[in-house]
Amino acid sequence: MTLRVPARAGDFAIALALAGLGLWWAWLSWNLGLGTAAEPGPGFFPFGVALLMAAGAAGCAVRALAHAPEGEKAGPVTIDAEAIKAGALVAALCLAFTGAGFVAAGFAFMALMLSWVSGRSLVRALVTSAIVVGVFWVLFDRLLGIELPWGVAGDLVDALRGQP
Amino acid sequence: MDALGYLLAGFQTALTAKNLLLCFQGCLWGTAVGVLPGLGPMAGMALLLPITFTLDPVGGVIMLAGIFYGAMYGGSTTSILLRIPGEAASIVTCIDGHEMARNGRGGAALTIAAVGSFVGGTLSVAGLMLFAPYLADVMLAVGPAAEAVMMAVALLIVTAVSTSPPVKTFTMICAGLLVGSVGLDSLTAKPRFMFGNLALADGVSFVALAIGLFGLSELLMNLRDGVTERPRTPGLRELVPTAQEARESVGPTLRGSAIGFVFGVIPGVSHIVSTFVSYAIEKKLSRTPERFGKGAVAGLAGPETANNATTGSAMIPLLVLGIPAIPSTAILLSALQNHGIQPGPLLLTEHPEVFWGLIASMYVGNAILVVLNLPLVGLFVRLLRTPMAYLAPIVILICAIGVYSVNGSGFDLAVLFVAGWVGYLLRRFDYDIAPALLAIVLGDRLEAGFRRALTISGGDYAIFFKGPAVRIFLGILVAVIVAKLWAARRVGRPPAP
Amino acid sequence: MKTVARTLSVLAVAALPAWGADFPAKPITMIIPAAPGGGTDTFGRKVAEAAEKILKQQITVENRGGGSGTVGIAQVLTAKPDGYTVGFVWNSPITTIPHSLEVPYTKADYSALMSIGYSSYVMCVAPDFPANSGKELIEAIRKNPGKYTLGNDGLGGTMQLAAERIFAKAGVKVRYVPFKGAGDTAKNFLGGHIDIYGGSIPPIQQHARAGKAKCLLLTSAEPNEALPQASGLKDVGMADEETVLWWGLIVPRRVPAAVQKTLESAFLKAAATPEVKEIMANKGATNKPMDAAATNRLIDTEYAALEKVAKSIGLEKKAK
Repeated sequence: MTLRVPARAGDFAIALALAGLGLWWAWLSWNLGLGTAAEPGPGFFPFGVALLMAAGAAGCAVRALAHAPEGEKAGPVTIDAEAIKAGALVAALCLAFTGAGFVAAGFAFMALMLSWVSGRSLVRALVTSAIVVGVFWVLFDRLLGIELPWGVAGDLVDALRGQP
Repeated sequence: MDALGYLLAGFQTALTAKNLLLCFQGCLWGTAVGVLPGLGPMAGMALLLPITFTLDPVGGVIMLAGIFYGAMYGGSTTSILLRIPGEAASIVTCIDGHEMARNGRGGAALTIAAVGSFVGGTLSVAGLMLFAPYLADVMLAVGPAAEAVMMAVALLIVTAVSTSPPVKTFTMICAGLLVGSVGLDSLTAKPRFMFGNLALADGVSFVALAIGLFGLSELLMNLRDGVTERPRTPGLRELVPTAQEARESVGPTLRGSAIGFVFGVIPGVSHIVSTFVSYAIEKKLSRTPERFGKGAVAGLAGPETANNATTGSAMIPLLVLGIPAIPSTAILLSALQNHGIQPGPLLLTEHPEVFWGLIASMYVGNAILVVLNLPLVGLFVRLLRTPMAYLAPIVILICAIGVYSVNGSGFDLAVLFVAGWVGYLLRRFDYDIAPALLAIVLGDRLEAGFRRALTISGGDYAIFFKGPAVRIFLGILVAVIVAKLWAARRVGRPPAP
Repeated sequence: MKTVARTLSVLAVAALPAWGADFPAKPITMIIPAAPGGGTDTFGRKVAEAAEKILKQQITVENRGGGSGTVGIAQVLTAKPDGYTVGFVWNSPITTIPHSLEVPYTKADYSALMSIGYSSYVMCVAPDFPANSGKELIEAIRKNPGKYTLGNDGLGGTMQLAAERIFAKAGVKVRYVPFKGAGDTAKNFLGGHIDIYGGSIPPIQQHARAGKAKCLLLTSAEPNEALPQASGLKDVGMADEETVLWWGLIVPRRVPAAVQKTLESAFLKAAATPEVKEIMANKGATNKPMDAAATNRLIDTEYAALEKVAKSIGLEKKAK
């Protein structure tokens, strides 16, 4: 699953994306109203900066074409399978954090990180996750007073206990 | 007025059992919130503010000040060990501090940071005592135009010293400024780049961005090599800096103290600027600039000291003018006012016991912090031995909790992971993230200063070249550019990209 | 202990009919739409402390900052209208902000129960400025239209509208430079970067006493003893143009009348306690409790006057 991106092409693509972002942002700023130099409007400053950014990114793109990468950077840039999997899991954790609740989302995240990404045994992953999530809940919610969300898991527990 | 007599009386106040205990509690709590990602001095002080209402004015302020510099201190720990900046002022500490930790010198890095913080903190308190009244005038000379110029200069200097190609750094800075402009416009309250999302009204959460771009991207990059090998030499020797490391840190620590103190007087975000300036200066002075970004002792000692040296001078605007320079001191101001004390030009004559009691307690507090932190170094380093397979998900969970705790917002968590992805991708392609983060922090004030200055001058750009403060900042910029060109000529050609 | 008390009182409520005479039968939540530490927060907490003793019920204070205070207010007004959620607010999010921002509430959504008093804004100039009273200040501005810069807390904020209201009446013009809070304004004023300080009293008071600033004109009708040199608006013949910063208690409009009455009288008593008076005096504010009727009248006139000013200076309403 490891991705290999040719260094030059990747560099060029990112620079183009940044340049596009700059131009788009400049257009948004223009619509906000530039005002005058004596009474600068809300779009005044971002407009200038966005144009500078587009110019800078264009420079990066030219540079990517002009400079041949040397030494260790000559080969393709690799994006590890671990990073892709972990990146997806982090996204899932963040999106499920409030909805599914900290306990459920944290437990699933931890268990999958250990078993799926790092290849530990399932039993080990489940036990470790249970301990970590339990300790964190006590530490942060009970002791430090950060109210962690219970989400759907909380509703489920309430339903099982017969409470509204 | 006999300053020495007042100071001695101040020590008497600060060293009473009760105030000593309050100071210790403040430092302890401050260190705790500083270590946790997401919670900074601001959150720590705000949480305990109501408690101080029940204390006497001196006791309450001593405790809050303890939290303030305790948190500045604690912020360096996660930066060094995990490359997760607890707050904006620790961004630079991450760069070389974390590289040292990766080279197995984590303990030494923490010790250097602790000692540097102590020296910086203590020297700046001495400076506060000696120069407070004069520096207040310096601070007032920095108006909107000078503020804008200072920040623009800081950003350009960063471009000059960054490890990635200048054109990439420049693009990153612009990107950071744009991200910083999201939210309600601070001058007209007009919504900007929010796309109807109310969660963006106060801007993109900086904590989520910092942890994502820096910490999360680092964890993603290390997952693989973490599984196979983590080079380090165990034992006490790891915790203590070698003679050479100690020697290398003396100069940067002293220079960092001076830089931090001078910048701390300028209100706003100067404590962050001071860390970058110190880093730039150390890199310029170094005989081995190529080691910067790869675990240079000077690149850690200078900025970390500068960061803590600003705490003393950040008190000057508050105590001498009654104007808080940074949000944390605004909370101190509020605590004083609740006791009927209005800091300002008359504080020294009307409430000398508060002024000198606070100063004395800052000396005491800095000493307490070293005693508190050095024994913890061993503990923290041992935590790092945890295999990456376990450490990474645990740290990510803590980051998620930390980000969530700030606003209780699911949206901030989405910012966290997107920032992590983007940071990972950009770093893979040799873009330096630190300048972008600096730009995000400075953007708001840079823009506000820029627009205010133009309003004041009626649209005349010449205001950015007028006045002593502006000229000093421009002078610094010219000096850095000349030094850079000269260094390039000496080597024959610019360093290969 | 608190939890136990709370649980007990919740049980007690469940056992009683939730109506009128028994109010309050459980702890009350007071939402303060600002971050901890500011004037509104400080006063709110003190008033809550005093009212706890009168109502013999716990009052839990919650800070909900953001959106210039509008977020916290929206939260109060969407709470169950049983009187157990009240809001301690300052006037800007209810009479000023609605003119420049789309807010999720209107005047019909809340009842003001009382207010505790006010703090005036003040305009100050450097010691060498060619004016020594409010009248002379206005005349000096009249002679140099558009020349002087006035620092304030933000475009469309209460300070700017307060100044606009006065200057529009007088027919004079200044240039507004917005800063982040009065402390920031004071710093730039003392550094000579702007000509006129416009903001609350505490940040400038000591500098006035130390001779670094001349405070000439208040935005309240009456003068203020903390700044003896400053004229009140009465002195310049514009008593009707008063705009001040004041604090009060609001609840959702649909809270039962009997409950509103109970809260009103309890908080009026609380506002008159020595503790509240002292903390207000410490922060340069004037303690002047007003009942529901007077507070609602104040809101109506202030809202209408500021709406007129906002329109006259072309503040458009922006979709949020």
